[in-house]
Amino acid sequence: MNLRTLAFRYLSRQRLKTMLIVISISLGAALLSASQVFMASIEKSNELSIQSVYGDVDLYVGYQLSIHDELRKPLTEEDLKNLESLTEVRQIGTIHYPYLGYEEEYKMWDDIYVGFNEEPLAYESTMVDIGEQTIPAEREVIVSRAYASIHDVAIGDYIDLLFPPGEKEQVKIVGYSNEDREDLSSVLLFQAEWLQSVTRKGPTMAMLQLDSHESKQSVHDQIVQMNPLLNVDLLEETNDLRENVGGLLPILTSINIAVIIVSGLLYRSIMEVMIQERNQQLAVLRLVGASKRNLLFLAYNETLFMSIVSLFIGLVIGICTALMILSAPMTFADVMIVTTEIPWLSIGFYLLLYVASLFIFSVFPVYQASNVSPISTYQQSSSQLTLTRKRVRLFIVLLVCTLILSILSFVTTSVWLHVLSMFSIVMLFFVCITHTLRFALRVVHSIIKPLRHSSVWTLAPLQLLRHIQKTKAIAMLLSACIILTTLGFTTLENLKETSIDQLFSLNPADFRVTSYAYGNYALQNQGFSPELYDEITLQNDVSEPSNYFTTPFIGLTTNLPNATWATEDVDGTAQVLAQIKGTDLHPYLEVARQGKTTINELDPFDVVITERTADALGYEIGDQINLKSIESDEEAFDFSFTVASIVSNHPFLSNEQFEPFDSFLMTPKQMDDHFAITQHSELLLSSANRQAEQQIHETIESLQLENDVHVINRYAALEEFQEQYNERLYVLAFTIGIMIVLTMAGLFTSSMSTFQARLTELSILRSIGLFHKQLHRTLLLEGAFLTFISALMASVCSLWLSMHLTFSLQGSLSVLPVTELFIIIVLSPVLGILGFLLPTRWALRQNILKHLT
Amino acid sequence: MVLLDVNGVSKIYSPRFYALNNLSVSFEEGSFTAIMGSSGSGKSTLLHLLAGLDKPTSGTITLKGNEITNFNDNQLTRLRNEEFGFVFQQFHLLPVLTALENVIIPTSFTKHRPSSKEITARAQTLLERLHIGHLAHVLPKKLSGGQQQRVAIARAMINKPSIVVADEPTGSLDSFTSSIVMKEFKDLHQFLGYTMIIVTHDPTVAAFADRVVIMNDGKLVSNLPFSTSQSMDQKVKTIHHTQLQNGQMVE
Ligand SMILES: Nc1ncnc2c1ncn2[C@@H]1O[C@H](COP(=O)(O)OP(=O)(O)OP(=O)(O)O)[C@@H](O)[C@H]1O
Ligand SMILES: [Mg+2]
Repeated sequence: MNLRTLAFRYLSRQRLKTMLIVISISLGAALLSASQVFMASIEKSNELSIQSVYGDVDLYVGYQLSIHDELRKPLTEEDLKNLESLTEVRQIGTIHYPYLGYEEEYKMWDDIYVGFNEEPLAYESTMVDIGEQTIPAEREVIVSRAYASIHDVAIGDYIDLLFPPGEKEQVKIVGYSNEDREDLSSVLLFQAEWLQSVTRKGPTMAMLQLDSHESKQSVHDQIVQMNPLLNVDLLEETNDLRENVGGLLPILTSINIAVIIVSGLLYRSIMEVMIQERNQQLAVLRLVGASKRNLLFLAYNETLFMSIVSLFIGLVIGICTALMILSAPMTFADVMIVTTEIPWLSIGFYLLLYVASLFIFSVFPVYQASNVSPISTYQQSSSQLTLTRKRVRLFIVLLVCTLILSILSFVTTSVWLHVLSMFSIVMLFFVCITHTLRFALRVVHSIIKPLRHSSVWTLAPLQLLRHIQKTKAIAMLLSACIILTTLGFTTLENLKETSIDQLFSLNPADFRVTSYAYGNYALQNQGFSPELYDEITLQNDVSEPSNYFTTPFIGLTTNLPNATWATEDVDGTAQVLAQIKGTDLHPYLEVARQGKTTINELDPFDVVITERTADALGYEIGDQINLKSIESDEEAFDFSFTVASIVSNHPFLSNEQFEPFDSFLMTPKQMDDHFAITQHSELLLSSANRQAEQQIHETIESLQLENDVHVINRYAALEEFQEQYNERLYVLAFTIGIMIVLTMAGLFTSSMSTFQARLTELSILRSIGLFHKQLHRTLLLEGAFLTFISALMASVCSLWLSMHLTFSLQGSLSVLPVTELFIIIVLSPVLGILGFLLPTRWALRQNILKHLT
Repeated sequence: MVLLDVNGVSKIYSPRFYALNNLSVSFEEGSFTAIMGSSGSGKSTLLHLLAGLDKPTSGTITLKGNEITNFNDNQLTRLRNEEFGFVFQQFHLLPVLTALENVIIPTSFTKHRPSSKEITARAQTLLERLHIGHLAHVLPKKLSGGQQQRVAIARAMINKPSIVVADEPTGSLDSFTSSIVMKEFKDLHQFLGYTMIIVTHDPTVAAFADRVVIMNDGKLVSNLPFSTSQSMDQKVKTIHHTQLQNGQMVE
């Protein structure tokens, strides 16, 4: 008989216990496997949908990728060789597009000639969609059905095609491209070599398929470094699609890490309880000659057995559940799930991490097990956890360090200090949990004692104190759950806050009324009647701050003091496209930073600018701004204005279109006088009433402007965001659910074994006349106290941590989950009672007599 | 030949409290000694020290000429495994192992382990000798107290130790079962030649020994060697008499 057999005996002859443990551990493994299957399936489905649109190609490279590229040079043999030699490039293919950029010159607007070589990547090109057919040979062409019907030709016909600047060539139609692809109607597909021989030298561009789309940027950088003249199309559109799914990854990863940590703690608590129970047996083993190493080996063998079995069960359950759920038609994160994928590698990685965490978390209890002294066979009580002076000193040092770090990080607002503080707080919490717990239990006991004389109430905290090791294990588990969820919640809330801030800075007012021709068509923008603003502001629900903006006058500034943002440089002067708008200047001038502060002071040729504009363009008070009209057909005319005031940046004045500077501002009267502009193009309206939109629409209809303007309600955008936010919240809620289950598993195993060890004691209590009901209540109360005190402690710690987290994310303290933590504290006893319910029932059903003798 | 020698040993738990006070005693190879004394006199403490479970505050203990008081944890572990067999008042069997497996367990930690077949045979023989061979594959919770104690005795013997120490081996047993268990001890001592040290309160148990040492307040107060010719009853009477002389309560 060897030690491995002994470990196995422990498992096989305590089947109920082993089963409970295996179930609790396999839960984590199942979750990890399932989440990997989910993620992989979503990614695969997304990748398939991307490939169906963009082909399985990652980059396009060439000197000339579009009409706008000046350099009309084909890729050389050497270029291609260099591209192919890049380590991350898996495959390369070429495209010949001879008339790219020559459309005007050769009158090749109608048809697009492209040439491909017979190579695998050719079929991935978005220009090739020919089903089972192959790339045509010399003097052959594949056309669209549209081309065939327009020119009244069919497969097998010989047609004459022009290949300027060369002669006509006769080619044979050998196939049609996919009928459904309207965008291919004008594409004629040739063999690349032959097409080169009758047009110009090629190929024009190369398609690159990489080992992984993640190396796109690095390959791009290498190519540009190799030859700066080469253009690279990164297919940015696909990045967005991938990012959409990629956004799930950090959430899922955090959940997985949380699961790993909590399961590790759960296992630790189970081991701790088990080793406590076996204290005497371990001592006997030591007595009959087991060395410390033998006991370590024994404990780790059990962990190994248990984790292997659990991993296997978890893996099977996880994968099956995930596949079952995914087999139903569903859409997740805007991706239709069309396929399932089992990513063995990443599942393996996570499970390995999981086992590692189980081993690491069980180091402490296992070490404790190996340290059992052989003499403790004789000693009944094994709780030697005394508050040594060394521990007190460690506690004080840690506490002081953490406090100093915490205060420092709040004072200096350094993100790194915040992170360090959070780490330190977690350390403090877990290192000192036993003593804090003991202290808290004593406090609770001394509070209850004078209040309730009933032994039932005072007994519970005392019992928890007696079994402080088990109490601690559960408290750690529950605390980890609460801390992790609080941090998750705080992060989410912070993200929400910043997102809403962004949303609101994009839409500074609650409602925005704009004319349809806004934006790119601003030049033709006729605006709408100023009457609308007057009418709307008469409504009670529209309040300050609200303002109007007239249709802008757009011109080129010709005397920029600071040329950083200059865009036009026709005749050697630095110029920038700018606009002047009329608005009610009153509220801005009142708080002007420099210059005139009332409308009455403004001269006819005065303009007002924002600080942002002053900084970006370099204008100061008193400077002239020369504006040249851009209307080319009319006679160009110039204006010259003086900067009269610089006002602070107001969200209403920020101009997304002209980043990083804003429009020049003047009064509506000035607008009328100089440019004959009286119409409005934008109204910014504030209203406390989210339903004010209805009234605004009514006013618009009454003025018959419904075809000229549209109303943007920022609350609608907010709702859309809220929906996304809720999706994440559900994921978080799901995690909380998992953690509750794990905590319950911990409560269950620990209370079960505590009660088992206390059967004699319970029987004595029964035999001296304690009622069944009373005993029942005492035991449940223990559970309630345990979870309540843990939740209380964890909440204090969580709040402290969230404060640091919020500050390091630059959020506001209003997101701190105070109410949520309060609810957790209030509800926590229920968790304890539920976890203790079945074991209590079991313990009280046992025969009194059997355990007394 | 002196197998185990205790020389001027003291054990101090708290300042000014001597659990053992400058005690000297030696044990011959193949002897059977009973240690008696009132509760708190230091019997268990002495037993712990001589088996290397604890270290004396001062004094030396030598086994086969080696001073075990200087041994480190690994050496002590080897010592417990190979040189000592332990029997307790509570039987301390591992609940998940059968009687036979419990007997075998100390061999798992032995350096040069015989084949498992040989070990199983040896364990089975021991169980048979103790008259519980038919219970070899039963879990401890289904055995009576006496049966469990006999399994524990077999476990103590499995590695053929030099010395078997037993702390109140009959303390949890009724007098009839006690005498059966003691007969087994005596048998093993006589036929296999084990050196035995037994702590007991019970003179009828002590009467199985060749010698009784009586302790009081951490000191040896008398040493009663018996001759082989003395009957059990005579021995019991002598023990009673000596106890009374030393002003100890008779239980
Ligand atoms: N670990 C310990 N710490 C402090 N004092 C101890 C310890 N172990 C024993 N003692 C004290 O040493 C004295 C001797 O104890 P010991 O257990 O050797 O007595 P004993 O003779 O075996 O008694 P009993 O017949 O009741 O078993 C007692 O007074 C006991 O209180
Ligand atoms: Mg004793």
